[in-house]
Order: sequence, then C-alpha cells, then structure tokens
Amino acid sequence: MLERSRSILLVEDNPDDELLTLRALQKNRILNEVVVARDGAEALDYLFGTGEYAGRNLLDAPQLVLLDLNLPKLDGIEVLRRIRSDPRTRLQPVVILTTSSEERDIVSSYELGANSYIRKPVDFEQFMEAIRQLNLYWLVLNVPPPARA
Amino acid sequence: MVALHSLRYRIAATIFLLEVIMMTTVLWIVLGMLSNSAREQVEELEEVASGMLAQLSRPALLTEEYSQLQPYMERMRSDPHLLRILLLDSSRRVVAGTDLQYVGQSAPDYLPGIDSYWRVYEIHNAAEHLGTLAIQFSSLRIIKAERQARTIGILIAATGMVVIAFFGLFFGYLLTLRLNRLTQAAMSMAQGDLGVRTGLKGKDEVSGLGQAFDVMADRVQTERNALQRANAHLEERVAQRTAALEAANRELESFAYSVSHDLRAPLRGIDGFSQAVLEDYSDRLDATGKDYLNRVRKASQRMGQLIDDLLRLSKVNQAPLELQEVDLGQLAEEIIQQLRETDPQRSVRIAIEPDMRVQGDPGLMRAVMQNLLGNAWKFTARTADARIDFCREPGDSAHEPVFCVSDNGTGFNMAHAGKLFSPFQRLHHRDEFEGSGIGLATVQRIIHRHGGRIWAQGSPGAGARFCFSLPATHRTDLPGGTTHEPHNRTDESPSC
Repeated sequence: MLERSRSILLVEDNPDDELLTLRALQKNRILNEVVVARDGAEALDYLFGTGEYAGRNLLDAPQLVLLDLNLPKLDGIEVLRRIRSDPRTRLQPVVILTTSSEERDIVSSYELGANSYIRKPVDFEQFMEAIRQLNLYWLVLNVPPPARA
Repeated sequence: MVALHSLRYRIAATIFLLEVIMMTTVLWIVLGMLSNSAREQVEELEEVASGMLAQLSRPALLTEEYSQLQPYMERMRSDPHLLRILLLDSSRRVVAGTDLQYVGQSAPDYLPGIDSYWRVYEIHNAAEHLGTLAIQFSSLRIIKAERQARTIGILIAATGMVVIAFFGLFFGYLLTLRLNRLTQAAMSMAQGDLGVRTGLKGKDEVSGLGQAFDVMADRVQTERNALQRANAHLEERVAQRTAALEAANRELESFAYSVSHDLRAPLRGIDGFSQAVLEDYSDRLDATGKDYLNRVRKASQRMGQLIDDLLRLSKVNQAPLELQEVDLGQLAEEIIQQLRETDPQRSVRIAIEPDMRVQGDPGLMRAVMQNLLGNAWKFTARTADARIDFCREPGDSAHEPVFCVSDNGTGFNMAHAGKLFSPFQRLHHRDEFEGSGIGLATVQRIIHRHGGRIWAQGSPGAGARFCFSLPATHRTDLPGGTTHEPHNRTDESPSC
C-alpha cells in the first residue's frame, strides 16, 4: 500500500474561476500542490499519464480531484465516467465543483459515482467558506483509498 | 327459424285469413245453390207422383172402386223416395194405400218415418171435396246431395288454402330475403364496414330501398374517407406543432441552463476579484474607492440572487406535481424555526394553527410557506411587538379551505396590491428590505398550479395578510386561477 501524494487536481476551464479557487485555497492556508487541467482531455492525460503527461508516475495520484462539469473537449460528466471505468482511478475521490444546480447534472454525477457535489456560490466569501470546508473534509478528515498503478 | 312476428309470417297469415273468409263465403253460396237444385228435383218428383195419383184417385173416389188403384200405388212405392201413399175419402177414412193395415180405418194421427216428410193433396170434383191424398217422401236425397256438396266444397277450400298458404309463405320469403339482405348490410355498416352494398336490382319498393341504401353508403364512405384524410393531415400538423413546441421548450430549457451556468461564472469573477482588490490593495484605496468596490460586489451578488430566483420560478412550471398530504402547520413551524436560527436576536410572537392538512406537492408547498413566512418575518423587522399568524379560515365552500398568513409589519398600500404577484415588482425600497421581487410571483404560480387562488390585503403600517385557497380534490395542472379578494375583511389585528 502506497501513500497518495497530497496534490489536488483542479479541472477548470474558466481562468477567473481558476484564479479565485487558487486564491481561496491560499487564503485558507491549504498548501497542497495544485495541478490545473483546463479541459477534460488534459485532466485524463494527467490521471492516466498520457499526452502531455506521458511517463508520469501514476502512483503519484492526486488526493482529490475538483471537477467542473462544463468543460471544453470532454465535459466533466464524461471525465467522471472515464475515471470510474478505469481500475487505476476507480476509487479516486472526485468532488464536482460547478455552477450548475440542474437536477440532471446532480443526478448523473452521483450516478457515475461522484463523491460529492458542490455548487459554486457567486458571493466570494461564501465561495471561500465552501473551499475551506471542502478541503478540511477531503484533505484532512477523509482517509483516501490507496493509489494503484 | 323465423320468428312468428316476422313480416314473412304476418303476410302469410293475413293472406290465409282472407282466404278462409273468402272460401267460407264461396262455399256457403255454392252449398246453397246445390241444395236448392236437389230440392227442385225432389219437388218435380212430388209434382209428377202427386199429379198422376190425383188423376187416378179422382175416378176411384167417385166410383168408390179402389181395386185398380191399389196395385198402382204398390208399383209407385218401388221408388225409394216415395215411402207411403194413403188415400182418404171425404169422411177421412183410409180407402186405399201402400200400408194395407190402415185401409178401412180412420186416418191415423201419426205415422213413423225417418228423414221424411208428408205432402197432402186435397182432391175435388168441381166444388165437391172428394178426399185427401197423403204421400210420405224420403228426404234422404236432399240430405245426400247437401252432404256431397259440402264434402266437395270443403275439399276445394282446403286445397285452396294449402295452395294460398304456400304462396303466401313463398312470397313472404322472397320479400324478407331481400329485406334481410338490407338489414345485414345496415348492421355491417353500423359495425364500421362501409364497403358493404345490398346490390338489390329491380323497380319494386324493397329494391328501391336497397338502392337508396347503396347510394347512402357510397356517400358515407366517400365522406368518411375525406374525414380520415383530413384527420391524418390534422394529426400530422399536430405532430409537427408538438415537435416545434418541444424544440422551443428544449431551447428554453437550455437557455435557462446557460443562464444558470454561464451568467453566474462571470458574476463570481466580478465579486471575487473586487473582494481580492479590497483585501490585497486596501492600503491604496480611499473610502470612496472601497465603497464603489463594495457596491460592485453587492450588485453582482444581487444579480446572482435574481438569476437563482428566476430559475426557481421557471422550475415551478416544469416539474410534474406530486400530490401528497402536507401538514402546512408543521411546515410553518419548521420554517419559523429556521428563521429564528438565522435571526436569533429577534423576538416575534408566532401563532400557528395545528393540523392544517392539504393535498399538495411537498417541495412546492414548502416554497410557498418559505416565501410567505419569510416575507412576514422580513417586513416585521422594524415592528416593536412583531407578530405572525398562520391560520385556517372558513372559505367559500367546505371543498376549498382558505389559509392566511398575517403580520403586523410594514404592510402595503392596497392601491399597489395588483403588482404584488408580478415578477420583479417591489413595493419597498431596496435599502429598506432585501429581495428580488420574484418570491410572490413564484408563490402565485405554485398556488395556481394546484388549482387554488391567492390574494393579499394590507395597509401601510398596519401589516399585511396573504390568503390562499387550495381545492380539496385537485384537477391536475390548471392553467391559472384568479387573483382577487373574495372577502373584504378589515380585521387589522389578525388572530386565529
């Protein structure tokens, strides 16, 4: 059994949201390494060590994936489906972090095995609070499954 | 088996009855004629016999010499129709006759004879009465003739009746055969087979009826085909329109989805980076600069709230109603509890009537109560002795209970009551009370979808009162109720 890395994979196409999320993490003194993927394909490349990330050590799996749903190339739902259907990433903790509050998005996320579903608030203070609690839970309290190659 | 009330049997029976009457009459006439002719023959015999005997008797009576007469009478007796002959003299003594035992005696009072009758002839010579000739004739001949005539007549009548009855039945059969064809065609047509025809040819009435039926069937078939074509066309058009509507609806839904998703993201940027500037560069901003940035943040947050409320309003119409029993009182208690938790420093007197059960969609009814109680909570914020009541009222009918949320808060001017339920309409200044102006529009839409009505009463400074009715049994998805005031209550201190 191998320890997971303490990194966070942030899948986010909107640079404003990316910057705000990073700021919220920083403000909450979350010092874990944050890897940013700007579309669904890039996220999968990182997780499976393909394309740009070819040769990456897959045992260095992120402790948490923050996944937006509305993404270019490959949308978040499809990314989640690929993560759950591959034995290497099947147990990967994935939290959906999105603007959508559509019931169909919530339902299909849970159906595909999302670990949590968080709606991004407009109010930045509320957003900061959400990020703080999210990381407290998933990075501190929660015990992640072991990484698999 | 043809029923007895069928036309065929009625026709046959009528003909038969007429035949019986006719035959009886004919028979009666023929029999009369036959028996008359028999009687005439007998009368002729009587005349001949009596004439001859009278001629022979006259000289015998004059001479009182009867010995020559006696054998002559014996000979005449050989005729089977002549039974007896007696000759009486003027003193009514039998002087000669076929029955010798009476000769020389007074005339007997009675002489036996079956089926017979007597004829009496007085014999005169000038004015002198010489004697009486009495002859007994047999009536068997007449009886026989009558019997024969009757037998022949009955035979003829019976044969006639059989023949007529047969023809009646046959004619009836021919008629009903075609009528049955018509009936069957009409039945097939009634069952939806419009292609059926009687095919009756000819110029009689039944054929005429059959031809009229065929013409009618042609017409019906033509029109039904036209109707079916029109119907198919209509269905096609309905399908097209439905598809267009569905497409428009999907477009609208995806629009709402993008509004939710795409408009909120830039808002978060505006708010987030304003906050970042305020935090990281506050030393370089004066009070006005900070105020402006705070206004930017407030505006973006309000817009976020507006977008959320609009989405909620549009969702009210989309999800199907799931009707269950909902206890509005219990729902109100829960919501008040939440309001107290968010505003722990406030003291508000609350009165909620227990056990107010209705049939409603639990999620939507919660939204109704959240909005109405939330408004009451909000608009009593500046009232010293704040009070909120939620009670059931006697409605227009037992089938439509009325529920009212009353408060003694800011109230509103009744002149603006009509605007209350329109989206984005606010009766108060934004600085006084928060809100997007969508809450009551959502409430009204939910109540209307439940088939109920909602109305409001109030006066500035004296509180507001929102009442809604819900039908006890729901029709599904009514397009909308009406917003008006059924009661003109001026009760300004509401209580249960």
